Amino acid sequence: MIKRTILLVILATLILARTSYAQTQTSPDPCNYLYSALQSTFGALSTASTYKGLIGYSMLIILSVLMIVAFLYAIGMAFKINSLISFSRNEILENVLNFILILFVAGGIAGIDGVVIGIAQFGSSVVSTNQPSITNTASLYHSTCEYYYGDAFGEISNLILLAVEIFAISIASSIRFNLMPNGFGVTFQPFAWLNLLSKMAGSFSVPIVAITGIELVNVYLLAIIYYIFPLFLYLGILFRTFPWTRAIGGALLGLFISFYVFYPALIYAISSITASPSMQALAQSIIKTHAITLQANFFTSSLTTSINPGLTISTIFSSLIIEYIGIIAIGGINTIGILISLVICFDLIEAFGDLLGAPSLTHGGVLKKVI
Amino acid sequence: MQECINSINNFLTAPYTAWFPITLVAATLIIVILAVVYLLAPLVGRDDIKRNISIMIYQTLFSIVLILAFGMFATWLCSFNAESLLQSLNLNLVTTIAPKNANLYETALYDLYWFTNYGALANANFFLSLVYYLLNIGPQLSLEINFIPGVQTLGFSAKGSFSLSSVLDSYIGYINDAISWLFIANDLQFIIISAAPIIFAIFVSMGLIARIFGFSRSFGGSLIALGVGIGFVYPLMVSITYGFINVAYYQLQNSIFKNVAVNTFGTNLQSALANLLTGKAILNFLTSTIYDIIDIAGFTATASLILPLLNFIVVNTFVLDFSQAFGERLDFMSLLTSII
Repeated sequence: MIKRTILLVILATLILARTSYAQTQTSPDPCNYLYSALQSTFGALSTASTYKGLIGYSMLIILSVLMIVAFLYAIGMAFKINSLISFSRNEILENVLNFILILFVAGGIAGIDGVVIGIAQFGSSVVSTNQPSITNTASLYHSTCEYYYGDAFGEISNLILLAVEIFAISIASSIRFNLMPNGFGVTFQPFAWLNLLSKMAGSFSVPIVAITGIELVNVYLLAIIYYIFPLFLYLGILFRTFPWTRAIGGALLGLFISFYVFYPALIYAISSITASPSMQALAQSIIKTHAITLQANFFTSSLTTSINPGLTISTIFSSLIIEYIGIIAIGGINTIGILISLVICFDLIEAFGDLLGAPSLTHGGVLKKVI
Repeated sequence: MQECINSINNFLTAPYTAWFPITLVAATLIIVILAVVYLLAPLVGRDDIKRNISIMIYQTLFSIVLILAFGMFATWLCSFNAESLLQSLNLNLVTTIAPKNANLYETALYDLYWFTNYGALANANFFLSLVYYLLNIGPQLSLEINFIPGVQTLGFSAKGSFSLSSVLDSYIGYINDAISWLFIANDLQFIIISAAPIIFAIFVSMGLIARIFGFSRSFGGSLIALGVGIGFVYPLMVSITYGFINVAYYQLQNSIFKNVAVNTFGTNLQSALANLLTGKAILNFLTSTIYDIIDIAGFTATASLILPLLNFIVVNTFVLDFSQAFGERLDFMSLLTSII
């Protein structure tokens, strides 16, 4: 009876297990967490209503400053003090600009949504892309995160494949024939030279690890920008209302515009280009052509006179190069895309520094300082 | 952390309160001296001195206004309940070690402390050893064929071990070095935050006096900007950025454990049984653990490298622009570069 019960339980377990065998597993994806779960926690940081107090204070300060400046202008006109008149005029213009800025952001970051999406879609419109369409800033950040995270994990898969190849090579290199019947004789290890190939193949891990690292850092950097940088917009507006803190206000606005608006839009556009099938095929073919030329001109011809294992190593190694360069090409292009976007954004900071009167950002070589 | 909080409280209660009244007395004394010189100047027939002194008296009067303004700002800063404001924006992680009704300095210190000792950096340090073991896990293939049975030294053999450490071994050392440096960088930030109130009080007070005189006006502006930059903007940035990272990391950590469990056993009893019976659970557990550790590593690397850089860029920008507004252009990052 007990045996039957146990058998029944096992059978029931197997049936139950069988019915759900094909169930798909959820893969660990931080992008869903960063832009869905965290949205409920930090969503307020990128919502205009959170900062309505700051906007109110800014309006109040602008009105107060305008009243004082108008009074100064009147004194300047009455006593014919030209420096006071020009100062007052300048201040009135600055405060009018601040007023327009506040009106622009008072409606929320919805206004910025259009700019961000416009830049991103303009960049990606030149190619047919597999990227999902974007509807707002959050979806742009999410989509870019997914792309770079996916690529980073693709590189980790390449790393595992590389480990498998090194495994195969190490097995082949360890093959030995022992002819020592009485503990004395000879041992052949005919493929020991493959160890050299194993070392060479191991060197491919350097670019793969570098690309993975940069792409992963980019994923989390985007989240930091998305949640924290809106604070710079509102603080920038508040600081711009005081004459003494106007420059730092301009600098914060410059940081916000460059990194919140342009950075994700630029890397989305670049990833759209690299994600398009035609660009991927083109990159693969160009790299393969060059690698084959390299193999024909350098590796084989220069070693034809050398010993045979050397020639074999070089041929296999060059084939490995072709294979791996082809695999990591897209990740490499994306990494260069990130670096180019960063350079453009740091240049934009300087441009906005000029525009918004922030001397710290004007021709200050911000990029140079960071590097 | 308690030592740092004690040192902050000591600064806040003892020398800090004395600095602004002392500066006020010094400014008043300067006005009295200047007034005496102003009265004596016509007696010796030096109208030029009289003109210069009158400008200096205006500057001193303006400085008294600034001393009062900065004194009020400093009093507000040290009594301001930054913790509740940041908590209302979810930028402060509520734990048992969190200080209650903390000011800006205590909040910044707590955020930095949690990040280093309980949060992303501490866990990255802990998981490094786990990653090391995981990378060294792998099958070893050993094959031996003997021509004469029983005679092991006559035949054919092959051996190979599969582990990711064969590819990544040297990187573990680099990561270890990087984590040590990140700990040092965080400790340096602790020191800066602990000293921030006294830097604010001394630099701003000295700067306000220094900017009265024409020859030290630019130096005074620089001191004020440095004092406000390091004493106010830096702790504010640390509270915001590290508060965000701690809360985000805490949630990520919780989601990671849930994620590993879901990937290992599935979402219902049937899938749990299927995974256990087929042995898929072990594979799923290993892969999802490795992936999640890589996620934590990416998060920690970003937080440890980008946040100090971002905070320093903002402080540098502030000091540069504010010092120019108050007297002199001072490039804080160039100053740092020159020292380093």
